[in-house]
Amino acid sequence: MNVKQFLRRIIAWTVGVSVRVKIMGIAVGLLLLFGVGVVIQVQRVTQATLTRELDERAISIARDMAARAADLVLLEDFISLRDLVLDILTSNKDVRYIFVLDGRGNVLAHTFGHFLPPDLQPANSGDQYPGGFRIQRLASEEGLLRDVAAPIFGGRAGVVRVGMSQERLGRILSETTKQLLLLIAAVSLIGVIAAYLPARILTKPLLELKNVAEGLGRGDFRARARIRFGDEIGQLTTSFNAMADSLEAFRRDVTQRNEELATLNLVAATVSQSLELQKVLEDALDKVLEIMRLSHGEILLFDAESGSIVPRIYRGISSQFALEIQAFSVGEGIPGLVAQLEQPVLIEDDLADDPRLLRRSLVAREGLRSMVSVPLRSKNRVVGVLDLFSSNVLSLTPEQLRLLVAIGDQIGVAVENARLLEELKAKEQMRLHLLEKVITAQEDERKRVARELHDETGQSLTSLIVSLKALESMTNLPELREKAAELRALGGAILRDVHDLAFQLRPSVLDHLGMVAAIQRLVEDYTQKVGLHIDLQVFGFEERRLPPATETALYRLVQEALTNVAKHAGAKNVSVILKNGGTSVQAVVEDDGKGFNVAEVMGYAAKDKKLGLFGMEERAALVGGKLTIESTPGKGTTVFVEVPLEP
Amino acid sequence: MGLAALFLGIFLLAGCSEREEPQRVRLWALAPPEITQAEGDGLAPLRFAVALTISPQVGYRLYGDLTEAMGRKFGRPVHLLLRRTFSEVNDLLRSRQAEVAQLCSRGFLQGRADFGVTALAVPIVNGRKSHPSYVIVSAESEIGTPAELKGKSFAFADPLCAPEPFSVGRGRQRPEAFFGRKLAITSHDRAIRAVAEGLVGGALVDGLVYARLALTDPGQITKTKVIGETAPYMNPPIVVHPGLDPVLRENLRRAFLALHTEQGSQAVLTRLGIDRFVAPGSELSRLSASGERGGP
Repeated sequence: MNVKQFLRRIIAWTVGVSVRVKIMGIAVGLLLLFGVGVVIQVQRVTQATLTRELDERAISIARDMAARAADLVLLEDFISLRDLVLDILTSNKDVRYIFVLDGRGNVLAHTFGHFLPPDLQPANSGDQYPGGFRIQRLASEEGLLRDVAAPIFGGRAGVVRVGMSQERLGRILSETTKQLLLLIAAVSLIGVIAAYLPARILTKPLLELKNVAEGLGRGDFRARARIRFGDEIGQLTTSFNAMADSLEAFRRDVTQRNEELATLNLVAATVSQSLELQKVLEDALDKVLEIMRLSHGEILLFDAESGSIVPRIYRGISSQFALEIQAFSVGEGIPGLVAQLEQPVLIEDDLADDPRLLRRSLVAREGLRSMVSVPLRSKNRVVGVLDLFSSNVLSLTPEQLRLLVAIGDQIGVAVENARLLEELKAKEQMRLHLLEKVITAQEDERKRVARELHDETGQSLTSLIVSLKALESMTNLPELREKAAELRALGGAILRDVHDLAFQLRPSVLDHLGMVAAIQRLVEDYTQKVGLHIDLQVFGFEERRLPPATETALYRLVQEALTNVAKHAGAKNVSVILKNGGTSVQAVVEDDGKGFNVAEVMGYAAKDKKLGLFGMEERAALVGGKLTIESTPGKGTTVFVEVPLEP
Repeated sequence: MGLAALFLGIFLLAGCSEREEPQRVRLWALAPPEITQAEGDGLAPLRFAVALTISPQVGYRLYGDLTEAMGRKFGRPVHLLLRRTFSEVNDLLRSRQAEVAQLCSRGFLQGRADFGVTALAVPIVNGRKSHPSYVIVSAESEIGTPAELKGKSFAFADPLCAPEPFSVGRGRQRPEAFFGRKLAITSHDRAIRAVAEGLVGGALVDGLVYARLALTDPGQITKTKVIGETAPYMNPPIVVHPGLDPVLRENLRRAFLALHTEQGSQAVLTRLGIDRFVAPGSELSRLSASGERGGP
């Protein structure tokens, strides 16, 4: 491990300690830093002050000494001079030595006894005394010395040298430093103790926050941290609690959504078990009652024929209640209102008093106090209504109501699917019937042609043969001529019959002259035979003929429509319009006959074997076209056919 | 941030101390002191001893100049030896540690009696060969006559040189009996200062010193007033040992007598309050006749 890694590890460890330790560490660190700084500064200031004071004393002593020595030197009273230096040495602290030099540098008196340190004389030497003295630091075996030279009598009588020891100063400094360090140690100890309390105050809410956060992590969403103060930690706690509230709400919401989805899945699974409408309705109602913990309910479905809402199944309520009203018009009663507004209706209590209710007396008798009614929708269209009843107060939260609406939509889709399947089945049935009829019709047509050929044409030809045989024996020319004319007429009649038969089987004009000409021929034929007044209008067929399949389909559709008019409508006037739009061709057959209920006839076609209209739809569909019939009883019928053209 | 700056400041300040390497000395290695011989041109200095009537430093300044003037005149270095008393000067002369000296008249008499010192020249001060001593008191004092000093503190400068007995009061009492307190102050200028500053009630001071101080420090003198004076006595003569080389003695005599003739030396004499030096005359015999009476 190199130094960098070691330092990095140390820093990581330092940064990673607890906040409490950090705070106390900062307090102690600052105290120590401050203490060390103070010690250094105090030491420096003390040393400077003591040194200055020492210097000042040294200067003072030296000057005093110089003044007092002047007379003695001038009078050459060296005994007194020696007494003086010894006296000053003993009476002043810190004075390590004194010696007096004459003007030539000879020692006149000193404090060392007989001899003198030879280094001292040359040290701090010179003639200049700025400020009246000269001071120099000297290093000796005894430590630092302050050597002050003061001139005697302006330097003419010599110089006094006073050496001050800094030993006592050093001792004072050491003592002061020791005491300061002790003080700092004591203050640091107090600082640690003092820092512990705020550290505890600061970290306690943080630890609580940590515990609550861990609780949240474990799924305990009820726990909240206590807000002690309005400081940053208090604000953090407030924010944290708000976050916990949001989390709890979010979790509740998610749980509820999950429950809703589970319920929806359950309903979806239930209603998808069967494609039979009745079974779907029964399963759906049973499941919803089970989920809602209710026992009374009904499902009403929209009836396209009557345009009303009809009760289909019920649970828990009497048949009298369920079938009291056979059908609700849209907007009528609570189910009608729900179907109209496509919104759920909740009556939590006092159901019998609700003015929208139609079955009021029965509600009271059944002991029902509340109900909820939701629309059953599929592809944004109401297909029915789900009613749930309770003999108690029914309180639903908005979420429960929303779930119920979602269930309603689920059931609505299932109902729609079941209905579509039923329609598909009915269509399949019709197709079978049509196939059967086509086969039967083909045989009938053959029978008819055979019968026609046998009964009509055969008889006529037999009659013609017999007449021709009689003609062979006839000799009277005028009679013969008359008979021949008669036979020719007979032959012509036979030929017309054959033509008619052939035209009925398939008009050759359709192949040779096209659809428009064939329909014109058809119109003429019907006009003649049935006595209808048929107005034919043709647009846009000048340029080209339509595909043969389309021409045949349209010809047969117009023929079928005219046949229907002739057979059923009792009309006097018929209008036939043919229009080629370029991209599609339209055929319209409109009569002023008695008309009919289209939904009824089309809806129950299979049952009533109304294969004609169904066959027309199928024929149009075969060439990619669409047949639409509009009719109102007493107001005639219009048949629209539109067949797209290949570009 | 501020705290960090504080600590940084403390450390920076702490680092700003003087760290010049001091000169090393050995206190425990002792040796005899070095002796520096006097610079010279081969000629032994002529030693001039003076018994001071003034403080040594003032005396050094005044006589130092005179010494230099003498050296110039004499063509030989002159070494000034200052002593407090005439007896010490006499001792120097007697022991031949001084070739020439200036003594008070009393000291001269003593020396002449002891080993026959010879006077070479006598200073003329204010045109006179002699001068009195003054009894002075503070200028603010109400005392007007020496008799009024009875019971007061009184200072004598150099008692050996002072005229004794000092006639004060009635009945010529001894000073100890007359004054409340008798103080011996080592020099006359200090005695004048003691009176001027009110430290003593009065003092007996040399007239020459008083006159010279009037010139050099008139502020001191204005704080005092003279209330009495002694009889005049001879100005302090320049003397030599009787056994001194006659040539040297003659040279010295001439030099002193001619000092006032040189411009530089004239200024020195003026500072000393001396007009010139003259050969001693009859005053010596008068001095002898007056017996022990003398002056500084």
